[in-house]
Amino acid sequence: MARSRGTHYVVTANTTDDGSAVYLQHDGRWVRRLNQAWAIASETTRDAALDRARTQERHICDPYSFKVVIGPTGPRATNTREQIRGQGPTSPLRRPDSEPATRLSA
Amino acid sequence: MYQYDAHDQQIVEERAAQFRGQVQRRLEGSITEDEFKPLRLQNGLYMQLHAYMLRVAIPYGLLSSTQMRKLAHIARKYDKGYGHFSTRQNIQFNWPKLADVPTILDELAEVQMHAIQTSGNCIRNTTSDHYAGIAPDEIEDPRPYCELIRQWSTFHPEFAFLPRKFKIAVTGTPDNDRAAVRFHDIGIRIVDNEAGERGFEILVGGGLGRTPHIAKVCREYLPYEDLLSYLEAILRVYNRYGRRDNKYKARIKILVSELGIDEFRSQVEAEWEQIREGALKLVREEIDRVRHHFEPAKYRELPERDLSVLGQSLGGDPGLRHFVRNNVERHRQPGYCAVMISLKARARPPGDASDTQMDAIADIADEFSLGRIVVTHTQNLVLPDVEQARLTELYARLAEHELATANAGLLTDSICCPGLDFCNLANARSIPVALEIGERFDKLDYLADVGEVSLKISGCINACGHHHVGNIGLLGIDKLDEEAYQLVLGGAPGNDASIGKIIGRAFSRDQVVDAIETVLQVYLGNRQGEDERFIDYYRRVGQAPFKEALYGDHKKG
Repeated sequence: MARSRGTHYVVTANTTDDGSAVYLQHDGRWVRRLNQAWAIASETTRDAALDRARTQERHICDPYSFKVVIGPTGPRATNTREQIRGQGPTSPLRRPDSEPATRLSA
Repeated sequence: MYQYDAHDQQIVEERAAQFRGQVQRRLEGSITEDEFKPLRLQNGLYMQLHAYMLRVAIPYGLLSSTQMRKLAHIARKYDKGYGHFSTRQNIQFNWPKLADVPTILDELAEVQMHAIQTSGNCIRNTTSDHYAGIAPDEIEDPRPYCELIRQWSTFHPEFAFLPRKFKIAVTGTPDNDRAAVRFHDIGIRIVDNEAGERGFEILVGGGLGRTPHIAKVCREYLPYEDLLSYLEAILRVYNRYGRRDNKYKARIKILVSELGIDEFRSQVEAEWEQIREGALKLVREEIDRVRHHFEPAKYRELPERDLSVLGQSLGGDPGLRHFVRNNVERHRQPGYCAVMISLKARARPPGDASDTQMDAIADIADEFSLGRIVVTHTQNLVLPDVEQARLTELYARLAEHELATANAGLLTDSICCPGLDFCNLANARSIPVALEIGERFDKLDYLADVGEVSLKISGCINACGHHHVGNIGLLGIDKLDEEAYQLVLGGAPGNDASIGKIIGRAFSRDQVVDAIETVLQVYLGNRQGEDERFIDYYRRVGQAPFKEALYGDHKKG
């Protein structure tokens, strides 16, 4: 289990099929919820995870990492960009029954 | 409007088929994202924060009702039920799946539309006056020239990989620029010379972004037959000397600024001398062939009414009176008018239209406006050919679909980029700020009292929301991982072009709408009568009273 203090990183990308934000898990799978992502505690491990992610580019595009804090429910983004990217647009969408793409379950 | 010939149709169909193969190879994994990216960008397909975004070209903003219905269908079937009309008179779909995009392009080709050159470092959609062809103050319809530029620039082999993107605008109303030609890489004004011969004034090196520039005059008068060869000469000089080592210094405005307009002009003229008598020389027959597609509609003989009197005579509905005053423009044909459909309804993202609204607009255009719609660079739509006698009936129809917001040209008719809610480049959100402003100031009488003022919001320095040329502009910035907004005052895009200036330190998200209210209070409390517009007041008094009201004293800014 990841330690909860100190700098942590999450590896993320957009999917090739619909462009939605996804996050890397420890076993190499990708999930759509940031709080289910692998919180990586070292830069060395992060870089290795990014290298591995780049081998999956048929399914994902342009992987990168960003800093997170560990909250009670898992990793949480500290900057507004990644918070919005993880949660979907904060402005109303025109079709009432639509949900932001990244609010899909894993 | 322009109708594709067999060559045009073949080009867009073959391009869609070509992209289908490219998408297939990407999905199969036989090409990488790095290999695919330039291919998708050449077809208007971006990757944004949450999804792909497809930008569809609408040449000079002109749409038929059939094309609008197709856009509604695409929004409904392949997206989340809406489209976003952009400041380049295009439409963007924010949620397409990659596998669907080739089919979307096939469907667009069925109605003579495409996404070619809506992205990448090439010549983009040529824009124009949204009242082109109908404005009483127009000396010639600019759209045939826009169309000639479109045909010349589409797949131009020399200009597919320019140092940066390249934008051209044309206006046929030299005394009333509604196309912001001074803020384009090339701005073209149709003018007459002293002998009364028709031609163009060519402006070059304008632009917004992180270094805004007002375009300079490259040639005061260019005979009409030399238009394309002169544009080619400008593009060649830019392509040869524009910087490719630094994308922030790659636009033609930087080259013109660094060389100086005199040196730039002399290089263009030297290049032009080599090519001016070549294949690009326009002949009158070719211009007439294109112009034939834009001939005036078959109007009825109708009496002209005074629109200011008409608004007052339309009974007790204050919404209708405001609508006639703000959203209805004079037309060159007696008895007709142009009607602005504001896409800035309360609680709706600026520039968005739902699929059902787009279908309704298409039906209304058929019934009231000879089947034509124009997209404006202010992210609204125009019905260009409405009989004045049918305004009451039209207003009621628009109101059924939340399309009768009577705020054209007023504070809540803001230009707004997608911002951090969608855009990969943005630093701050734009849409929620625009919505809060709409909520705060959504009082028709207050808006009428404030009068003509433009509000333009960009979520980053790339300035897609044109904040530099807003009378009031907001620039979103990232301040230690928090959204903040710099307030910019004094910009204007037209004949009296000016670039706004930052008033002082940035405001937090919680403060920024209060700051705008303070600015308006300063104006309303100190203007010299109701006829003094915001921009005129600002130019008279400068920043000092605003700084004092916003920061306590103007030294703190």
